[in-house]
Amino acid sequence: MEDSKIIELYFERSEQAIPETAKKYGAYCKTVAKNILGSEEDAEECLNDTYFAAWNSIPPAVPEKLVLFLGKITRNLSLNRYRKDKTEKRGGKETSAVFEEMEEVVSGNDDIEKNFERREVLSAVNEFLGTLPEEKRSIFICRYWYFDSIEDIAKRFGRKESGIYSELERTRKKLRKYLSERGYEI
Amino acid sequence: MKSEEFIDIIGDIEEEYLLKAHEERKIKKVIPMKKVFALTAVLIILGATAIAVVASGMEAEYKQSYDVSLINGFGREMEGKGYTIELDLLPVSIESLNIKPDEDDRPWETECFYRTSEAVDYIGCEKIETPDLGLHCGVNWVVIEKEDHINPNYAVITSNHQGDGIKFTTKTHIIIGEETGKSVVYEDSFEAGGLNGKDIVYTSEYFTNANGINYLVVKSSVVEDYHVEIYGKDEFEKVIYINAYLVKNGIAYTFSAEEKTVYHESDPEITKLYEEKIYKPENNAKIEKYLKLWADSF
Repeated sequence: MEDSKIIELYFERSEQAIPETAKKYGAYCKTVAKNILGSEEDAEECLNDTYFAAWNSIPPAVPEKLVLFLGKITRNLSLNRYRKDKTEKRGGKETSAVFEEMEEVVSGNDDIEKNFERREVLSAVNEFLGTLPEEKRSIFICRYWYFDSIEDIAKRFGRKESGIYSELERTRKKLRKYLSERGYEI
Repeated sequence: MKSEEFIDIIGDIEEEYLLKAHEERKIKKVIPMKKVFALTAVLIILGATAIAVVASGMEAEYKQSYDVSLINGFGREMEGKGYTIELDLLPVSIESLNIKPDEDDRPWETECFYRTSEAVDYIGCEKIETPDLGLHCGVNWVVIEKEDHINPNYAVITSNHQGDGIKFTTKTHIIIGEETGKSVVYEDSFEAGGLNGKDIVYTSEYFTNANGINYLVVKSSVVEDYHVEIYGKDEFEKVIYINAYLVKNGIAYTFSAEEKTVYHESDPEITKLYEEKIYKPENNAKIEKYLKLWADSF
């Protein structure tokens, strides 16, 4: 079913919206959730939460790209759950790795004076991503947005895992430099 | 800022980028090459020194589709043969070839870190007719990254060369990919300048262009349907991956897919043409002239 039809179902408050969403984007959302949470069971629960959140959001929201809309919900819910789980010593190993990797980019400093407006940093990150060749950008996003494992990324892009590691490392360094040069010592 | 907060920020990046990555995730996961009906060809450079190549292709399920007609190395359309290849091809004029180095990287990395998919962005591609031979000429080049970009499905070539203060490693190894329809994987290895076993790549040359950029040039003769890719060790600044059948006024007609190129099937007729046409000294001279022009454009 086309996205516009699925969204119509939400607007009509038709419960059919959920199975149609699940049919088309269930696997996608579940992958995102599982990447972050590392557990099939947790991912499944998160998936249900995603449907519920979508149901509560549409309307009024009218997603331009339903796949991204759902992906973002799943990602946010999964990360929230991961944080909760972390205190209970649970959570996906990829997520821990991703956070560790990103420590190369951020200072880890909570000094309020050094905290910039989120939107400013986001804007700079977007600018930076715009400077990357398409594939490098996609690899970065696969890792830091989708939390894909290095192994999966390497397979997708026909590369060696070590190659993906080193490329991500270079990209992180560049990102840090890019932000730093613009005054964002985050 | 904590890394978790930063990851949250990344969650809101441009949808355009997300969408593209999403598409990549969808497409590339099904990359398995079903068929490789590949192929190849040849070339030259620096007087008697030839270059080379390899070409190959595969069926669909791969990258974006471009509306291009597939023309084999001898100008024969591949239409009607069920060849559905999706090329990662961007036509640009040769004059616009221009690699912009990453400033942060070391010089050799600057050149090496462009993967083939990026490299094709720079491929010169203008059609010329060569009615005298009935050929289209083609020049492909692939800028190869470091060793860690090895794709195990493809060929691996390192070379042995010492010059300009840079010593290259000695081993050359080639893994030949799937044979058309048989999923047979061949392996072979050879020292630069020689090949043990199959007559795939029989020499490699190294040269430096006018701008001081070093290239590894590999001469190859592949007469069967193989799928081969060349990549360089980290010492290599650049590996040129070339198909050139004819060159005219420094303009070439090029097809290239990411890491792959489709030219023709190998058959006796083509082999004959190959032998009769490609190795003509006058053709070599043209190709050499072109190649220099091209290489110096970097």
